[in-house]
Amino acid sequence: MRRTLLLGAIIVVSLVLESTLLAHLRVGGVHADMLVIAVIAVAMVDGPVTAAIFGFAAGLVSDLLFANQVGVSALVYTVIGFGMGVGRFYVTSSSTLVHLLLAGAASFASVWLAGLVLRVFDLSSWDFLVRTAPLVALYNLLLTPLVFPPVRALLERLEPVPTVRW
Amino acid sequence: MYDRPRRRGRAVLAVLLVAAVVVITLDFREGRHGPVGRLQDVAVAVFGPVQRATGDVLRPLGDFFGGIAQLGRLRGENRRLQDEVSGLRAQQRTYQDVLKENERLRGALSMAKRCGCRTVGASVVATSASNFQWAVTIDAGAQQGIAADMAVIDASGLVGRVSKVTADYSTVLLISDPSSGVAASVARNKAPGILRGQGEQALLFEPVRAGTDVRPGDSVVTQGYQGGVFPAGIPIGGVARVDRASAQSLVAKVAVQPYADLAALDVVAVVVAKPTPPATLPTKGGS
Repeated sequence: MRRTLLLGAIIVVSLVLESTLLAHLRVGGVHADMLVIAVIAVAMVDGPVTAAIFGFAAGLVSDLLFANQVGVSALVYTVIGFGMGVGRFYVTSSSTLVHLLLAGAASFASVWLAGLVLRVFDLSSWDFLVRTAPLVALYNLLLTPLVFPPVRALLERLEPVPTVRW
Repeated sequence: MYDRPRRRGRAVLAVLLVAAVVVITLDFREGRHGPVGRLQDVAVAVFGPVQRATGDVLRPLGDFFGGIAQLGRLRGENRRLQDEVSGLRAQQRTYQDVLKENERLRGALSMAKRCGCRTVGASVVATSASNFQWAVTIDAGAQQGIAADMAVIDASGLVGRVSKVTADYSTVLLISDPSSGVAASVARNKAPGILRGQGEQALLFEPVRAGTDVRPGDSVVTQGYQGGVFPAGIPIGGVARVDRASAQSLVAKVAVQPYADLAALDVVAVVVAKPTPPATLPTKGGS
């Protein structure tokens, strides 16, 4: 129960910070995607199932607040959360650099995934995807050291989730 | 031994993916009047006050860091503005010039009055969290007379239209959003067209007729029509570039730079009542 409340609080805080503070910090027309970093942090600590549920909830709330096509972020964050959760078992390195690169790669993938789904509704273009994905990945790389450790520390203070190798 | 949790995990993933696809489908088919639209109203009503309170506290911080991020551009702009100021100081201004300038400034600030519209003022409390959506939340809603599809302007020109409304907050879809389309015309010759959003890039004006005369520097304004969203004559932006018609495109593609600074919106006005446009367009020389 405490874990669920904590995960809910992480969604609210990430979303509020993203839509008020980060939205004004656009570089090259894009801003960092704090939610995806939170999803990655949850995936690395709690594994694929919790991360997928967390990603779905975070994406859905984000979509309900702003998106014209509700459900796209929910779909993307679910896939990213599950994928990172499964992938954590195969990452043997505890190097900070490796985790940073993983966060960057997941951010890059999330932009492309969202862009591909939105292409179906003609709400995204190839030009935009090619230009935006690396920028968001880079921006998220810079933000990861500020978001990842506190989320991880908060989750690790509570009772651990049983680990299952995929 | 590990099969049961793994099966459960896969089942959870499948359920979530199906749920996401169902939500996307429901939203696409039923729009804001369906169950997803009602959920959106609840989300905006719940998060609006939180975003407003947080935005008030964090905005100065965001502006500070935003200023640092744009230092290079600001330096260039500062240099350009200083040159401009020097040039302007060098000119001998007459009293009439100052009066005219004053009138222009007043005209820009009273955009609503110019178009004969009744407006409700609002502050921007949050900006879209997604890099794929160009929308803002404002602190005025149904209780202040706001309804969906109302036009939103600022002192510089058109900003967007209201897409979602709750009691005290509304979401404004900006004209830069790729799903935005505005009926517009070139102010100089009234040539009609559609203005589409392209995200961070300039707006794309697509003239209705092939061979339309559009030139860089032309002003593009809203085109009013019966049942339309936007009042006629609201300035939208200036033509920045014209890519002539080609074998791939029968009409010219015109890049339009919006007058309103859509990335730094602060105070806006929602057009709650607009003048009714004439049923038929007046003919040249007609009485």
